[in-house]
Amino acid sequence: MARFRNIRVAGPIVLNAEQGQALEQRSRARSLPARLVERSRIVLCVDEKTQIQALDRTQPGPPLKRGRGATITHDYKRNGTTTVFAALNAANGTAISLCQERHRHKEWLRRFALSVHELLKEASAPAPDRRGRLSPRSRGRLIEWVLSLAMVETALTGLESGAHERIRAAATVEELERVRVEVLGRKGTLAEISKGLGKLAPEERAAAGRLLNAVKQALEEALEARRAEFREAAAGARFAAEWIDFTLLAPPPARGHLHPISRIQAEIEDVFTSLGFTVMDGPEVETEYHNFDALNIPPDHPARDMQDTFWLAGGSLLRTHTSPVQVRGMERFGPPLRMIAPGRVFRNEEVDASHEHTFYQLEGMMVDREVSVAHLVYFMQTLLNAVFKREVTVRLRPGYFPFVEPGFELDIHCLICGGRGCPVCKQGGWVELLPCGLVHPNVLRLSGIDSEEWSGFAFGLGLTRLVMMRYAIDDIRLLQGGDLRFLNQF
Amino acid sequence: MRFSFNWLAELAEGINVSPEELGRLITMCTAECEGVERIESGDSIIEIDNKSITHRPDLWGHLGLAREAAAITGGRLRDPVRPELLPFDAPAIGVEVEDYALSPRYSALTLDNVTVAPSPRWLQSRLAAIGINPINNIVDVTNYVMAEIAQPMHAFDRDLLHGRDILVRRARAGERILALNEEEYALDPRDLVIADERGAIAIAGVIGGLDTGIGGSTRRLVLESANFQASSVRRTSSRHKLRTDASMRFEKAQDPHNTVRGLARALELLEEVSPGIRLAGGLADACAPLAPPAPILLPMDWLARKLGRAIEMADVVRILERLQFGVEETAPQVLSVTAPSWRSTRDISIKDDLVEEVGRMIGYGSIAAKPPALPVLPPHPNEERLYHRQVRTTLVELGFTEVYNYSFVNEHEVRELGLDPGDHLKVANPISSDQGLMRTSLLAGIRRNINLNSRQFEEFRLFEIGREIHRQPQGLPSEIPHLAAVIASRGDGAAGLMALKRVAEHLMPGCELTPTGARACEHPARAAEVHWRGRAAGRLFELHPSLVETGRAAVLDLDLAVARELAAQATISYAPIRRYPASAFDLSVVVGLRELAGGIGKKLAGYAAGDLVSIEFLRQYTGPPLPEGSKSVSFRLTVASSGRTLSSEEVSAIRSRIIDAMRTEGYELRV
Repeated sequence: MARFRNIRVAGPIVLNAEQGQALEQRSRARSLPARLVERSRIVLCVDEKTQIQALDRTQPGPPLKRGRGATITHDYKRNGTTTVFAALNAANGTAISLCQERHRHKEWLRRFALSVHELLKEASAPAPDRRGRLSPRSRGRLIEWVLSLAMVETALTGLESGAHERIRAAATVEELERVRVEVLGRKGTLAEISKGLGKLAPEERAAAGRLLNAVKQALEEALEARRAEFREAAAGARFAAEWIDFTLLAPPPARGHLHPISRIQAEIEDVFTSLGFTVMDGPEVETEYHNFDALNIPPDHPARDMQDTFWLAGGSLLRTHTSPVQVRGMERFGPPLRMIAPGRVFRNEEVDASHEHTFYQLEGMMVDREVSVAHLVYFMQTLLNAVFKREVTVRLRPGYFPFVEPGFELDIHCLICGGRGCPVCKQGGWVELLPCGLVHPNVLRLSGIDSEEWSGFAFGLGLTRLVMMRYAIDDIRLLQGGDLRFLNQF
Repeated sequence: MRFSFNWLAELAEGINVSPEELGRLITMCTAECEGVERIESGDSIIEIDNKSITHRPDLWGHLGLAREAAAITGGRLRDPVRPELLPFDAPAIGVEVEDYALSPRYSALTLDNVTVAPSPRWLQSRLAAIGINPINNIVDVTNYVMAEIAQPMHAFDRDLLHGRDILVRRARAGERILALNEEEYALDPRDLVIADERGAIAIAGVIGGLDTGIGGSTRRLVLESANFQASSVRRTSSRHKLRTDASMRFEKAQDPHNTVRGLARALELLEEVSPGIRLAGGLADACAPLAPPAPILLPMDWLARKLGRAIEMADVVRILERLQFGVEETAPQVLSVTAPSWRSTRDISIKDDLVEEVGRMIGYGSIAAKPPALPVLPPHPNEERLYHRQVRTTLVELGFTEVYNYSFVNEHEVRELGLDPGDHLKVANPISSDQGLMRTSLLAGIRRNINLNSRQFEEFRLFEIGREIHRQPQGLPSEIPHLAAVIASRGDGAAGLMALKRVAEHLMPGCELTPTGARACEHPARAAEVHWRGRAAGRLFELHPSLVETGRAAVLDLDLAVARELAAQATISYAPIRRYPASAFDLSVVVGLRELAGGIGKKLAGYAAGDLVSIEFLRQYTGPPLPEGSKSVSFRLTVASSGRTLSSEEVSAIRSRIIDAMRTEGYELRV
């Protein structure tokens, strides 16, 4: 109560527009009873609001979408008029409010003035009527006090704490909105208090205004915070209802499956491309020259037996290996050259679980200056590590292929046993993987490359075999059988 | 090719290794040993992969492999041939060679007082061990010499030959011979024969004649040891589909020096297995001049660069000399190397061949991997592959599984698809008549896939990317990459077609379908061409229901060469985002049932012209109150101006303009 020491005048005020004015004039005309001044610890703000219109949209505004460039505004629905009666005991912050559908003397008296009366009885002890109640006529005489800064302060403090309490207690958005309208609304308590500021002394007016704004802002923030709580709670409830069973089947189509050969081929192409190798294609129907002669396999050479050939009417043939693409690569690009040629090849063989007449190879070639066996080993090692995604141990041994000299069979340590010996490698520890070698000078020459200046290496990887190794496929016929029960596994 | 370990050990003295170890060493240094097998007689068989000795005529006899074994292990090679046994008398039989190109050397000996009997046990078991059936002492000796020094030989019964001379000549047209295998062969001038006065007595280098062969009553022999041109023997052998031990060796280009060595060795053995046998006259030897092999210059630094490791010249000399090469240092650090005659027929002719000799003997394992110093060059892009990969990825993401089909099709299925087998490239030697043609369409394989999988799945999606092979008037056929994507289902197929249309739009944004006449393999009312950027890129259709066993199959068949070309035309350039709101209105046009909605949409869009932002098909409707046989097609048109917001009056004006224009064209609009 220390802050009331400097109170000049204190007392209740009626902030009703007309009546307030009248009362104010009267209060100026007469001095206040000393008794009342001394005991003026209560500020009571009373107001009434008539004709508050409860409005609502007749229907929600449709959202914007293609073809609707602007919001459609709908009519408002009037829900009728109401009256809010409100009073605030600024001493302790108790708000007394009442909403009435009608605005008559009766409502004022019965529901509101009675409460005011109870409050004021102690403070001012005005003369009640015979029935011990405030009569409408006694209203004017009742309150004849003058507003002061302290009173505004008291009123605001009380208002604030009361309003906070109500905001916290609001159980619904609608209830919260009512609090807002009553306290912060255009005709709410705060607005009414602010109207009264004009009657303060000029030096007090600014301070009162600041105080009022601070209270207003604090309440607005509290309202918004509470509103956010409501929003979150509502969203939370909605989201909780939107539970989904993720174990249910997703609607079709499910993802398809790449053929295992395409898959491995792409993988290997990427490895080689990253090392600067060009991926080349050649025709599946080849000339005898490209398939044999240009690869140093002249007609009637017994090496032609190694590759049972499908001949086509007209003298062309189905390529028996991807090596002719080497020749096409050299013809097209010349040296230096780094290329691979994956593709389909054909051999005239009876088909069984481990033999196919149609399968896939990947030919590789590098032509540069001074290419040595040591370089070949380096490249093979590097590439095979990448292909198998692990460190593989390789070895070279002699192998005969007319288009290379020297020619090698490249073995790798068995990937199953790591070289110790197991049934897969027939206990030998090594698995034959690919033929390779330094490009035969005749092959370079036939493709117009000077074999003294340039040299190279070449190798042939059995893609189909690699695929079968990778996925432990035991029947080669599955690869071109078109059975989705097989293909859908990849 | 089977080799007897004991035999090898006899020829290569001091090779102190087990048969298994020898097999391993040979694999690492010479040729692929496929296995080592211990057999009953206490011997072991070393099995060498024939393909790995295609280039080595000498390795088709034990002596050749023994030479390798001796060189590898440091053993000493013992040559079983004693050339001094050959007589110097005048020959008792004349030999005339018509063409030395085809038969560079023909040597023969005549022997009398022959006793034909079973061979001694050692000879029989040695032949049996390496897979040659013992027949009689004479034939067994010829086979033994072949197995030992790789020189095929043949024995004729002298008394069954007519005339004094043996003639090596081309067969005459229509000439026939009954061979030792009791088959008759019709010969022609491409075949080389051994003949007497009356006619062919052997197919040169392949097989002897039955009539002149050794029998129980043979008393006099003509022993033939000849050399024939490899390719001629090979052609004859493959033409008559007759591969013999002799032809297999001759086609590897045998050493002409070996003929007389063979006779000397046979002579020695015959004296042992046919006691009392004696020479009649001297050696008949018709021989073209034998050019000595040209020396090959081998610079040491070049060799080191090829191998990628340093090597002492002394080591090179030692290695080559062990393999019986002539070696001489003609300049500092340059060797002049002469290959032995059995290596110089085809195998060794250039210095690169010597790299292999040295490399395999020092052991390739001694060459450490070394990164090359190479220029950093980006690879040439392969746009086609990249595009195919994109297409694959897109299809897989849209639920399609990739299949690979054979390039072969057969006449029956081609006919069923309504294609002409005559348009297809024919395989001259197909595995079966079922695979006699090259596919000109992926459809045959795809159809097989559909019918196979429809037994297991109610609905499935699959695709193939493969090449169509189209015959050209000349040169190689054109190979056109195609995509065939299928949606097969038990339903009526329309949904599959529309889903495939969406797939086509994924691959070719903005492509359009033009209904077209159906081909024989297509549903008569469900076939369209796919057009993109002004060109036809393929077809979308339903496979003719009669071709599908269960359900229906929608097919998208795209020419990926065209599609890729068109895809490459895509350029993206930014257009400012419209700043003013657009307005939309719907229009419904009443048309005949078969009028294409796309056409109406285009007309509407045309009349909306510059004001149009987008046009969207909404729905079509048939039924009351529309008259029978007509439908209402509705579109939503969105219009806007780039410079301002259109007022509702302006939008109405645009709408009216379109309606009026359509009505002028005779269209009925439901407004």
